[in-house]
Amino acid sequence: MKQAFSSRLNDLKKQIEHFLLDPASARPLAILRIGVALVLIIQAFLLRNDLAVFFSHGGLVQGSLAAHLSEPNTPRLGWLTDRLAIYGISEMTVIFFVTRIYFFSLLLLLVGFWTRGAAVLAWFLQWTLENTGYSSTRHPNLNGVSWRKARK
Amino acid sequence: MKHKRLIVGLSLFHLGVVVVAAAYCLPTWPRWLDHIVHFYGVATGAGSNYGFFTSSVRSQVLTRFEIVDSRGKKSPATLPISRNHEAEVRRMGLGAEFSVGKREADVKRFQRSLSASLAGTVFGCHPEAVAVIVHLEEFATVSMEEYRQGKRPAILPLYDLTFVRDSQRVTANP
Repeated sequence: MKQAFSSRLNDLKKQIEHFLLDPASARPLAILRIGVALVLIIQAFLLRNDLAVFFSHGGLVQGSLAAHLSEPNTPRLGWLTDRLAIYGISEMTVIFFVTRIYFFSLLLLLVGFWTRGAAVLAWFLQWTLENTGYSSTRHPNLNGVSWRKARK
Repeated sequence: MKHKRLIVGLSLFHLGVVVVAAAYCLPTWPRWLDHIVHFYGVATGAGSNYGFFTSSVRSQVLTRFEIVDSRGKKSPATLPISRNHEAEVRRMGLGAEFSVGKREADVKRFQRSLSASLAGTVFGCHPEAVAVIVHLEEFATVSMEEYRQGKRPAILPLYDLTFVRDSQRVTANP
């Protein structure tokens, strides 16, 4: 009985290892990378004229309200703008450069050059921009409530 | 071997967070673990509850704006955003934020602050406006069963808030 259980456990371990660790073709991952980069590039292009409205302190959702809506302890552009303001760098300049870096990282991701670095940069900047101002894509028409909302 | 175990462990952890969030359960585990899991879920998107697969939709809060000029004439106004799907999705998403808060008093206070913020944006686009009226409306949906019984979705007024431009400040009149 004990032996049979142990043998089944070993089989399960092998199956999990086989599923997670066996070498596989990188092609599906490359297609996913290109697809994600394309979607995000189109999204960024469509929002290019709304940067101030969605990301600045005086945009649609202003100041402390935007902070209230965003997830606590997550990166926001405000952290950078506050630190650079003492050097006379304006908020719009920071938004301009960060969004350009984000767009550039997506282009790198698309063509597959410096892919890992570009993926990490794109992920981090996407997260930061989502947490800044009001730039969320949560859609109210869905019955589900995000994890964040459930905790508020 | 150690490397393999780490990858398997992380994969199972990720899968666990996805399952917990998708099942919409909030286990009562230690606070420190709760913080880690929550932060991980937010950072990676594993904390999504996949609401887009839901079988029903909940009612949606809509915002509408009117400006009042110095002659008292009312005209509709819109937020200064591009007319494309991406910008529209974000504008629609604002409606969801009008229900943030656990207690009704919190929701009301937050609705007032958010309305003021949006009214400020509308004032910025319409210097001729002496007042901005923010209309909050609910798009009340019906279930398929109710629809079969003849009930139809409707837009119901929730409340209106008027913000008046003073020479010095903007004041609100509910």
